[in-house]
Amino acid sequence: MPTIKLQSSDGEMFEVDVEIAKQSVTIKTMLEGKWYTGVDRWVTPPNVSSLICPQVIQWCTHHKDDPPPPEDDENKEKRTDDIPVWDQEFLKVDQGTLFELILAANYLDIKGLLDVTCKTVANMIKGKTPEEIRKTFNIKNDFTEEEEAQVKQVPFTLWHKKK
Amino acid sequence: MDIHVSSLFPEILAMIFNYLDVKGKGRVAQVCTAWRDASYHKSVWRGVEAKLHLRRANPSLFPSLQTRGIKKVQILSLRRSLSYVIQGMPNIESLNLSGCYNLTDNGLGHAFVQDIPSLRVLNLSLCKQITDSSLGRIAQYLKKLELLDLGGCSNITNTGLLLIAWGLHNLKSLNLRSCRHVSDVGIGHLAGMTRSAAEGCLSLEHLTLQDCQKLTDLSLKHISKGLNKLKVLNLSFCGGISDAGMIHLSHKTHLWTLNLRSCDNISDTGIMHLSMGALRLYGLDVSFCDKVGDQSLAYIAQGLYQLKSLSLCSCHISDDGINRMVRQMHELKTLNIGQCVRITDKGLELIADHLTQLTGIDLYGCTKITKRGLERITQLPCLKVLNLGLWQMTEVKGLGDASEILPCYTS
Repeated sequence: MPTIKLQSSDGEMFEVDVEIAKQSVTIKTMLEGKWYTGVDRWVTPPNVSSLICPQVIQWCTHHKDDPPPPEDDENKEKRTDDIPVWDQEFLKVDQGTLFELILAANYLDIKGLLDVTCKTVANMIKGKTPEEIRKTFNIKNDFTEEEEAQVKQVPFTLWHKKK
Repeated sequence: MDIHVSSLFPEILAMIFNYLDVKGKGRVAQVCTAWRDASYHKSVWRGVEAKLHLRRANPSLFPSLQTRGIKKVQILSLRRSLSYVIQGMPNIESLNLSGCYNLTDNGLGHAFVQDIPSLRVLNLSLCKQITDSSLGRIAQYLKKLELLDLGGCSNITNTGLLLIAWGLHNLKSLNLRSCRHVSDVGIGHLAGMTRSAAEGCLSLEHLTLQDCQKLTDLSLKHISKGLNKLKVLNLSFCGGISDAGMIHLSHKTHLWTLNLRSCDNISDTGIMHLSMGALRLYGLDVSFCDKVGDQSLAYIAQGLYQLKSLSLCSCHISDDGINRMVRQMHELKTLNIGQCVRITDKGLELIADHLTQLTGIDLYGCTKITKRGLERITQLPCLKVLNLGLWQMTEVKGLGDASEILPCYTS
């Protein structure tokens, strides 16, 4: 079975089945590109470390038989409670790993992985006050007093998403 | 070294924020400057409809809607004038004024004073003071309108429909529920029958004429001649419609859904006409048509066997009718036979044996059925919803003992 190599940012090489790798639109596009004739082929996604690469490969391997994800419908309610159980377990990782997975999924254009990782972060934000969010992600409040007052002024509590 | 959330660039933050409800989207803006800026991305607010009480002047309101690219607005209470909203949102796409009972022709006239080509959706349901005069304004300045809801605007007359037919050629959806002055003449205007004065709304796909009591079969003739894109037609409570009108509808090959709820004059004969034509209906509702009985089910099995949804609540059907239908209706997903008091467990068994794609069934008020029949029904492989109460739906998941869900039914 034809394979492709992924080189992580720290120089390690990982070999993957082409069919599994094609879940990455980036890789798929490369493989279908006109200039692509070589046998020895590899991709170097930036910021994808040797720790993350195998995890991305693991996700893609598990999801290799998934149907292609549907087009985004702006009128459809965006849910976060529909993350498959396997993905939930897979994503029980520390924040740093989660963000690396997001960045990798974004560069490699793997929509399914990007969706579940973003949903996971959204779930970490839901229901929290701004201060609680800062604590969760260790974010510094860099607003001036004036800026903070301005941001609070907009009447968000009056707005609800269309059902 | 662990990656921190600050490594996520704004486009990614925007993607994450997209999954939050509107309150959440507001809160994340208060976390830090980077999150504030990311939260203003238009992608975060795609499809969001802002619901506004316009009590006091808030100068930051419209600019904040603009920054986020929000173009759909519902006004919950119209204390300030409508022109205040229109001036503040020049690119508005959707305006929902449902229930703003204090909106007058005057107010609307002051607001719509020039072309608003961005407006696609206008909901004026229950704005009871609106008259044909407003429709004149709308027809003149909102030429790109695709959806117009005038439900409950009981002052509208045929003249209003002529104005709509003259000006709104892009209209795809029109709701005239309870516009009781409307008669066949008005429907003729919409269908382009008065070509010299008005082209008609020939792109109409959804038309709701619920409770337009003056309409007769002539309206259906107009519709069949002029509205060739019509997919969904709601004629519920149109007491003037009769079986003969069904002949006109039977030619409309593109019609998907037909609602004839409480059309008292519709009988088995009307259903026969619908079945014998070229219709490929997916949804049919003849609930409360008490002249519809078992013979209708035989006709439906012959000519409308591709139906996905069928409602016959309170119709005079029996197990015999069920028997005549079940073997042909392979696509049926929803069956509503509430208050069909002649249905017994035998009917339910037939349904359970043959309608294997059924996802929802309404059996409220079927007083002759027992636990035995219900157990068979709950065995349907795709069943998600079983209605046994007047207002509640019971979700059927991991089907257990029928008596758990239906304590009132004894064997």
